Amino acid sequence: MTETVLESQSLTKYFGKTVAVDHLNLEIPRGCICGFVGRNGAGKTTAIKLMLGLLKPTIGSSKLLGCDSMALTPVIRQRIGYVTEGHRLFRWMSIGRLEKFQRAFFQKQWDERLFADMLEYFGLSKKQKIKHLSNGQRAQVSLALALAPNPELLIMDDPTLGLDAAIRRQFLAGMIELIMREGRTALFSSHILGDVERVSDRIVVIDKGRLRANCTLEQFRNSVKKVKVAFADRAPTEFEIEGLLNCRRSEKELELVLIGTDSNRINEWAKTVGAEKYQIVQMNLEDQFIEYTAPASKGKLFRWEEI
Amino acid sequence: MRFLAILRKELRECLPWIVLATAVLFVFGYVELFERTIPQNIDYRYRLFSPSNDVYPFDLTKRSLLAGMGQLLLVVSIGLGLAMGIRQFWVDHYAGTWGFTVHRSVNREKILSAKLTAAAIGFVVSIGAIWCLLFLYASKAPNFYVPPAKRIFFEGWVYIVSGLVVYSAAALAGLSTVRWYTTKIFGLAFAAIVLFVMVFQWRLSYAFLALLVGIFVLVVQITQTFLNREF
Amino acid sequence: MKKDGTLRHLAVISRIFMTVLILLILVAIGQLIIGEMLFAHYYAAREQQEKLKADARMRIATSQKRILPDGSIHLANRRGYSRAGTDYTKFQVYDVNDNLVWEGIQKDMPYEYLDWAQNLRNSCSDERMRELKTITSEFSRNLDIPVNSEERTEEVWRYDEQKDIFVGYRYRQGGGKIGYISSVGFTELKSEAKPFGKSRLFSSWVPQNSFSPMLLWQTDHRFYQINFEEHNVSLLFESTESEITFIRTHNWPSLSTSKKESSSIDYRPLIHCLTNDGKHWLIMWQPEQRLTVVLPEGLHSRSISATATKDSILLRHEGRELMPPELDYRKSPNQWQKYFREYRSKDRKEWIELYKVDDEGQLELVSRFDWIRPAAPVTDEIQEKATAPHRFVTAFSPPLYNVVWWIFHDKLMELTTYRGYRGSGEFVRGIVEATRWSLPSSWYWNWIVSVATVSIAFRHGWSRRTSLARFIAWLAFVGAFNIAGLLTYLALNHTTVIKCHHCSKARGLDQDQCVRCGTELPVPIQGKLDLMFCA
Repeated sequence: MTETVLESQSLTKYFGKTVAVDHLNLEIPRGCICGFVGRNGAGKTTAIKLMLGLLKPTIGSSKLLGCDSMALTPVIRQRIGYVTEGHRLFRWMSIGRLEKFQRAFFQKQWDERLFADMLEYFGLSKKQKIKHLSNGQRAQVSLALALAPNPELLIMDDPTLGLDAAIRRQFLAGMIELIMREGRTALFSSHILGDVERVSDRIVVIDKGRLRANCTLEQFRNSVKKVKVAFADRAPTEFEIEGLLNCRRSEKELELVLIGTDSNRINEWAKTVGAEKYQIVQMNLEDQFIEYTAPASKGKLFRWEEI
Repeated sequence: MRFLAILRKELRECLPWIVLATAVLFVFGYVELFERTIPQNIDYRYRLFSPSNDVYPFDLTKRSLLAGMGQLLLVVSIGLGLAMGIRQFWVDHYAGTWGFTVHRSVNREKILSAKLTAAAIGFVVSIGAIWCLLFLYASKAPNFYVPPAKRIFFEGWVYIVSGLVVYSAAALAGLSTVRWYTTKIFGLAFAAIVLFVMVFQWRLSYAFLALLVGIFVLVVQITQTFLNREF
Repeated sequence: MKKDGTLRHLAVISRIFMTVLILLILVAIGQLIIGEMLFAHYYAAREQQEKLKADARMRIATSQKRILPDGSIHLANRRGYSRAGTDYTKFQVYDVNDNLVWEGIQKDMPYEYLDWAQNLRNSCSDERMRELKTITSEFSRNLDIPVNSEERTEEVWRYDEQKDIFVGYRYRQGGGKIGYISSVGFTELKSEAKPFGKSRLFSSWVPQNSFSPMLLWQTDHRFYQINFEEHNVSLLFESTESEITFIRTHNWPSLSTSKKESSSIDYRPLIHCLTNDGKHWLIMWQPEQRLTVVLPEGLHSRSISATATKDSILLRHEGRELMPPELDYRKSPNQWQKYFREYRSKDRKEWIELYKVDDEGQLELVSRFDWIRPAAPVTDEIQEKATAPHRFVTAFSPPLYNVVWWIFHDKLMELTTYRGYRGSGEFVRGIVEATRWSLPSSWYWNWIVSVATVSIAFRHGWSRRTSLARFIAWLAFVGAFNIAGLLTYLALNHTTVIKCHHCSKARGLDQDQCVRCGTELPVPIQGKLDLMFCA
């Protein structure tokens, strides 16, 4: 059985009367790169902070590397690298000074060579002050600081926030190489599904505080399908098909988003409703995510739009 | 090692304020003392009386030569307390670096201890040392014909400890997660009450007691809040 | 874990203490403001006071009782103040039969009345000295006695409270110590100096032919005269058995700075001392004489004044009918206030007596005058009414106040009467006033306020409670501290409540289950289309 590095049980957090994270039950196995995605305000950062013990859950609990999040010992924290949202570092420090500060907490496990290599790779110098760095450069320093102690688990909260495409690609390339090198586990949250698609092998979708998906990227990609169905006459207004999540209907066409429906079932259904032809539309992860997290129509389990 | 790393970081962050307080106290304190040794200030310090005249107690109960220093010391202590409290506990909040700080592989108690230790060092080394130097200078004949009373030295330390009360109050206000118009500033109000009680004490022991009680009440809350606060 | 629990409890107690202290002060300030506004609104018309002034009995009671050398008693009634000075103050003088014998301004008064020994002029009591030692924001003050020449200060003698001696410094180039002045006089060595004793009072003046102040220094048992210029100390009076209550002087040679030049009465210098054992000590000079006077029963020790002329030694006694003893008033503040009001609402008998003292210290009555002081005016009742409303909402609830009264009634009575003022500085007087204002008076209303605050706390806390014991403790706290308690409770316990999805009642988020129906927080239903594939 694969070891679980991160797990939560009924993890819930209320801010006032608003539920930010609602009974999150999650398990992340060791050795995977897990993309943690959701819309704005879905609860990603809150969930990460709960798992790191920076916030107290209203109910429920979580564990990192087998240790309760509210009781993370220094020894456990040494094994976890954390890149904060916005890469907030001490602006008055230089990179070298920050390295010294960080190093004091990881005496034995600090990889000086790795840190130096990473700085070289990103084109940074130890003498540069944090306040003089751009967003991207700060992100790079954050990553270097987080990876140099060789953590078992790396948690990154929107690490590419505010970075342009070129820097993002460079950052992700570096990240993948380093993570994959040692077989580490990584959990990173992001709004940019392209990045998630590029690096992750597992995806966790959170929507309005609730867990909507926790599966491999391949499973997600294979499960979410968009089908365009054309009719000779009027498209039907009522029908049943397994896995219907979203439906857009024009006079002669239906556009369906289906979850977990295999091709044979689609084919059978098309024949049943008398479709003239149908086509499975290619979607990238971003399209799939948008369709997957679209809100349901009132009174229905799926979204219905009349065009 | 970890504690020292955080302590160094805290001291470095508060260094500009410590240096400023030291410089202000030293420069203005020296000027103040120097003025006290100018001949016209020495010669006419004590009132001359005419024969067969009433004398009011006020004429005989003089403020210490270091009275101006006292005001300066109190203001600088309070200022340094506020500055350090804000620097250590408010700036991290607005800069968003609490997450980075708290996720260090060290107990939260050590982080808090380092902050409080840095504050104590800042006060003792900067203001305390300068006060000791200036008082020694004033006590040494012939700088002042009538040296300041020994009690004044301890009153100076009362002022310095007052700064620690204000520091604790600023720290508690910074850590409080409630809105400013509710109980967030109660720590500062409490510090004001403690200082008010302090200035009306004539027994030094009671003055120190009031300050220590104030510090205890505030630091206990700071500790509990910091250890259990959400960041 | 035990350490965590202790820290948590300490933190909670500290937080409650800090919050309730601040809110008590805020509530007290609010009370003071409301009270002052109401008082100004309800203040009684002056005409009642004017009416009272016109009352002859009140005129007699408030007039100055002056005694002529032959023992006759006159009643001098001041008719306002003059801007030109005390010499121009108008007076009416009556005899004991209420006949007007003279009217005019002070400087034209044809009678020369006896002068009596007074408290030391420009004196500084030990309470006042303590105030001078308060730290303030500019350090405390020192008692520095300069020894001056005509043009400059030559020496400075500083009082060392720790050692209870004076330390002298040379006040010129080079500085340096001169020596020490203590109860044994001037010494060069600190080890030889002996303390004066616990200081009570000092007074200072500059004698003739000198430019430097001298001190009269009173301790618990002794009375010194200290001459810093000549470096000597004279012991004027010592009471070995009993502590000194007061010292008064008259015609003291060195204190003749404002002696009337043209006095026809030949006074002898006199020190009049009262000790705690009730003895009056009269020490006179020219010739030197020392007498101890034990007062007969009925004479109140503190109301005695003395004077000594070449012909006789005289004592003056001012007596008044005492408050009737009533022990029940100690039981509750309401009883105490009722008793006090009843006393003030009765006429009281007062009198003045003149005694001659013989060489054995025996007294012989020379003359006496009695009068009635009318009861306090009605304005006090109106004042009570004006200030009563603010006492409905007091910082402390009736039960708590009663408990505090039962334990500390002596101290509280002292604070709420005139004695609380005497000899105190502004800070103490402020505390006394604040205590008076915070006294609850209308018990029923106060109980209603207490019940109301507890009810509000109950309604607020019932849905939020996590522990019954804690909830009850908070209710008791609110009940004890009224409004400040309620505000403290709300400040520290206003947690979020949501509607229970099962019973639709309010429930707190700190609770695992709803307090009413026991349901836990709702668990979201997993969607059929949610993609959950665990590894």
